[in-house]
Amino acid sequence: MPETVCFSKRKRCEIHLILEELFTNIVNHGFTDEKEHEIQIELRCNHTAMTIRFEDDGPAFNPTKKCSPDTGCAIEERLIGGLGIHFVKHFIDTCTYERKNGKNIMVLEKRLGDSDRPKGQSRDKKNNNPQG
Amino acid sequence: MEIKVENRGEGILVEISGRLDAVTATELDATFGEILEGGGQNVIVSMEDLEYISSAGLRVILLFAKKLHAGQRQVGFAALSGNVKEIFDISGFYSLFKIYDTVDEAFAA
Repeated sequence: MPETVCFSKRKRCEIHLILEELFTNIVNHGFTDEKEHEIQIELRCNHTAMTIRFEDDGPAFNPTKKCSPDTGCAIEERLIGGLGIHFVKHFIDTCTYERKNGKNIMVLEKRLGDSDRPKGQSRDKKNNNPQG
Repeated sequence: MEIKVENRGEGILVEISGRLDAVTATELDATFGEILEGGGQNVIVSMEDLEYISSAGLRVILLFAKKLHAGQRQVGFAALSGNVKEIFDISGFYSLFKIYDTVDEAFAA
């Protein structure tokens, strides 16, 4: 095991959120049949970043291609779903997806410093307007 | 997660504390269900001691708000901080709902 890595409560909260949203998304949308399935989750950490790897045997699904919900419309038109992946996209710094040997493999990287991302600064990702 | 419901006469106060995630969201859904059946008052949800919220929690909140709206009732939120505040912001909930700094402010409005 590597030495202890410390990061803020805020980052811990964001990591919890990323893990919960990806996990529930895979279970709710990927594992819709009666079969037994497997998810492998791997976390690797150094002092500056955490790498999160999800591997599941559900049907091909690339969350990075999913459009973010319209967060500006009125309550009557507001759709219920889609926010989970929207959060994941917001809180991670890089994300790759591949389909390999019948498995979905997602690798996400999250930087752990609190000062490296001031509000409003654009990040290396697309199709997102975090301050919107 | 803990939920406290208090009828304040001018409205119903729901205080949620702890973690509102995919596991605990069903408890909140049940509480909201009782409030929907209960009558015609508006609702203020205090999130002063809520430490964490995920999309499962927001889903329950959004469904509740839609049903209240359909019955000509309103829901407002008070005392958001940290992670919860940011999640509301990213979700566009600030433009969707009335959000107050404190519970007193919410009831005075």
